[in-house]
Amino acid sequence: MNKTASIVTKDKLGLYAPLAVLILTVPLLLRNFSYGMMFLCFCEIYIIAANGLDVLYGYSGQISFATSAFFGIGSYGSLLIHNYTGLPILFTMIMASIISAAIAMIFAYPVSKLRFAFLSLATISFNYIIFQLVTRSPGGITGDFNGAFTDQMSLFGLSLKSYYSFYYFGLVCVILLVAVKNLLVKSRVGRAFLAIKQNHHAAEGMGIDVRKYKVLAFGIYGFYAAFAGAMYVHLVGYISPETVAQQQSVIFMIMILFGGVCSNWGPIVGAVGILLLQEVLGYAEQYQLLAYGILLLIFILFLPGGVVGAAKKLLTRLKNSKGGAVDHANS
Amino acid sequence: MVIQLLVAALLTGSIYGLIALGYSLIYRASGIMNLAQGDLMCLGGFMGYTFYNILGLPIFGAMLCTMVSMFLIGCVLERIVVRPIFNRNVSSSALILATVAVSYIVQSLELVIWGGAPLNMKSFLKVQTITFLGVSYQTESLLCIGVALLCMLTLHIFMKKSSFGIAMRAAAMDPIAARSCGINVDQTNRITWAISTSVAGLAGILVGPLYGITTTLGTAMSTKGFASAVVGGYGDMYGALLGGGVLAALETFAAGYLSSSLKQLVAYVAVLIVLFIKPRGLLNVEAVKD
Amino acid sequence: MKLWVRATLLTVIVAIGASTVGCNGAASGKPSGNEGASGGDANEFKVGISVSYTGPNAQNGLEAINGLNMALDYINENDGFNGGKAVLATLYDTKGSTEEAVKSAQKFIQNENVNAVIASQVSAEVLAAGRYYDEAGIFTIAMGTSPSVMQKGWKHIIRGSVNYDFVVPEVVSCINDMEISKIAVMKDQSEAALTFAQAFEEKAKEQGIEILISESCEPEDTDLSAQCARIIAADPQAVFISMTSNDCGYFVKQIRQYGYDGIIFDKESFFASMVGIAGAENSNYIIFANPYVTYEKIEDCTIDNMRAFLEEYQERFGQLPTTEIAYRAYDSAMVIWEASKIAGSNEAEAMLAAVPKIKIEGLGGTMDYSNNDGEPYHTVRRFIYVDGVNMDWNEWMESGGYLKYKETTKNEY
Repeated sequence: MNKTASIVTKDKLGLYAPLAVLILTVPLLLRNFSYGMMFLCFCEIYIIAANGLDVLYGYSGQISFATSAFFGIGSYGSLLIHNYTGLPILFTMIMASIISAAIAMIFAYPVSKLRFAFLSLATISFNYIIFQLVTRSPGGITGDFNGAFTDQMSLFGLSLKSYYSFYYFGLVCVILLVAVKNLLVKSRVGRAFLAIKQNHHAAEGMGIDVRKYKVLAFGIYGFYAAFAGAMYVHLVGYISPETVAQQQSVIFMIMILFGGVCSNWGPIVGAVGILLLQEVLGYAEQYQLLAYGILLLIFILFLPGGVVGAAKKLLTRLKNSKGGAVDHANS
Repeated sequence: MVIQLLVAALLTGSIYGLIALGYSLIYRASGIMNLAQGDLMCLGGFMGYTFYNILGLPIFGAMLCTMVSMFLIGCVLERIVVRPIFNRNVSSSALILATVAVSYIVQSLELVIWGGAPLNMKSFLKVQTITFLGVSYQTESLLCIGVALLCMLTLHIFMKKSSFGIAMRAAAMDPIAARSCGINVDQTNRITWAISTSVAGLAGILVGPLYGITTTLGTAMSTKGFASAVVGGYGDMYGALLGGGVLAALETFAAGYLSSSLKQLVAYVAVLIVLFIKPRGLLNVEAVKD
Repeated sequence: MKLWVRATLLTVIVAIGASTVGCNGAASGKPSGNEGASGGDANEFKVGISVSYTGPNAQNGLEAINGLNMALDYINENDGFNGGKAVLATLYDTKGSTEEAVKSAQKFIQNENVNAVIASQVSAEVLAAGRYYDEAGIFTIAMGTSPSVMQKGWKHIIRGSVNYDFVVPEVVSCINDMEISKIAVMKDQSEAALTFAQAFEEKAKEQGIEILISESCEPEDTDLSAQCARIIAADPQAVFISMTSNDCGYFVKQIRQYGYDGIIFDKESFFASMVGIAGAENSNYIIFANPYVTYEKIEDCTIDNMRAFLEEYQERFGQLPTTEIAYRAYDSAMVIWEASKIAGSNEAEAMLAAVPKIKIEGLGGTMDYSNNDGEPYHTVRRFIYVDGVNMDWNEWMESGGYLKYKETTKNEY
């Protein structure tokens, strides 16, 4: 396992400082192009969800095709709680995410002894079940197939309806959640995850309670996916069951495979990259599918570390070829 | 109503069974979970449409042509996609995703060649309804059930009695021992894939006149077929058929007696229950890899 | 793996990524006609249409775009919008998804600066996107039929097709006229279908008609065996369908093959595309009430302005429309034009103020907005599909069609 670089180190400041300035001032640059602002807000949402999936798949090795289900639990959860109780939005978002994490952990408990094919099937089934519940809700509270409306984002009475203001709120969320994830994966918990991913028998032999950590990983994933979903519903003000459809879950997997699992920047690059792809290819569904298929194959066969992984290896190779010994272990 | 539901369940069960068959065969032979089976079924449907509606072949001729074409496609698929992926020793999760990639590519090719509008195969029978014992049946359903059963029977005989079939089963059980017996394991793997694809294609052309041919049918069928295979016992041919029948019966009778909106819910909850309690399925099949 | 291969792959991917950042929403390759560049030209009137033209119900969207192009050409030949040239905004596919409808609304408002929008025939999409059009003050005309579209209090949205609230009483009274009293209902889950079915069941009960059973199905699930079995078991005198999209065709086919040979009432016209799926014989005896009707041969059409439209459509696109959405789009465009002519201006507010004064001959009859409810069609015609043709229901009854039907099927009421 490569050394996991921390997000900010002194020698990288040269790269990160201008990047930070750019990220903070982009609303100014795009002040006449609110569609681009909308795009960036969606990026923030999917970055959070992708990071959640990375914790589950990249670090603890559990494949999941149920991400859109948890995304939906966050969306519909926050929508329902807010619409029926009038509680402030940030509060309902967090509540919905906690509920989602709880559901994820309950689900993970029996599922933790499944692997590969069986785990996939279990997550796929779970996604379908959530979709059924959402589209046939008791009393139609979710609006069934036609979706439901809610208020757009507001914080402490201040409306964050416009894409520009939502962007900053989203930015804070992204930074917080990604930082938490980063701390988590570098801690003992993260190392336990990795040990389980590599060889769960050996991990058990080393005294790690495999089941507990697998359930924990699911819980974190459930929280992140749901929080992203809650952000989504309060950005658009509307949600429909298509967002919860099983096919959407695969897109999340594609994002992290594209960007690179088990890394800080991987999910970010993956989320933004796939969203860009969707924009460009949006008009021709067949090309979109073809692109996903080919991309997936390329990244599975040739670039298993995703864009970020490949870039890292490239940099290592270049560094090494400048006169140092070639590091075969990392090529 | 019971009889009509039973017939409907048999039909759906046959379709699920055919797809599940492919899943189990491939899993037993190469240890891969091919999530593209449903889309291959759709491809079969599209090809059937081409042969029957466009080229005007008689229906059984169209079925045969479809099966043969899908067989060839299966061989090509194994050669070009599966073999290289396998040789690279990619992780199991990545393998699953590779088959998802294949399903996307198949879907996009379907969209490019046949367009996005759902296609409608003409009914191939003059008599649309048969009335027997006071109950009416769709003749097409009965025909589909018949053809599916025939196919399963043929496969059973092939696997049990023919020397190639026995070689295939040997290679699936223990590739190394089989190789030392002189069995060409590469070839048996390829034929396994080809048979799975061909059988899925047959399911597609059978379903065509009844439910229409669209690309979206593929994903739903993939999951149901996969679920059937697991419920019956993943990796076992007969388990696949049993699983298909059980799942279809659950769905159809729940829809018929409880409420049509519960159809999908019942099916997937049943799958989860089986996974949690008895992942080896009804026939208690041991997993190929852990 | 070789360094250079990795490097090349990575460069290619980064290059693709960089070029996509440069692109600002590529133009679609799909049906165009009067497309104009983005950015409002003062002497232009840009019309956006929000439909789905890929996916299972693509035919509706494609025909709508054709109808709109025909209308825009006609308008341009006749002085345009107060002298301004009618131009079709870049198309954005809603892909049958309400999310995409919302996104395409954003694109129309922000990227295209449209002057008017013709909103989807899928009412759920209009409900989702409507608030954006209303807030942006854009003149919007919706092609959907669900009453709820006009109940949201959006001042900038009017309707260009029929409101189901006017269709329900007509269908119910038709059932009464035929002395039928036991009905089974089949509906799907789309918003329009559900609200229509609900309104129908209420009105039917009011008028003494018994609803024996009410089945529902999921969108795109064409395995309706359980629903058919239950309906047959309930032994209804007639079946009422409230379904949108082509799934209608599969239901009709299956219910007929399960042995049902009675009358079918439909909430809207049974499109030629659905007849194709169900089979011509199975589609017999479908009755509906609607301003519009589709035809398989031009000769069957006896309505003058409709016939002229069909002849031009056939000449231009090589076939007759298989759905009625083409008519709705054409009529909607004509309404927008009429509003701008009466107002003498292309400004949305002035045009909306002019709407109650609109009274024109649409393809489905008189479009009269004087009720000030944003609704054009207040009465509808009854039709029945028999032997491959949509006949006027009154003609069919008068010529003894009902008696003949009772003889052939031995059904008594």
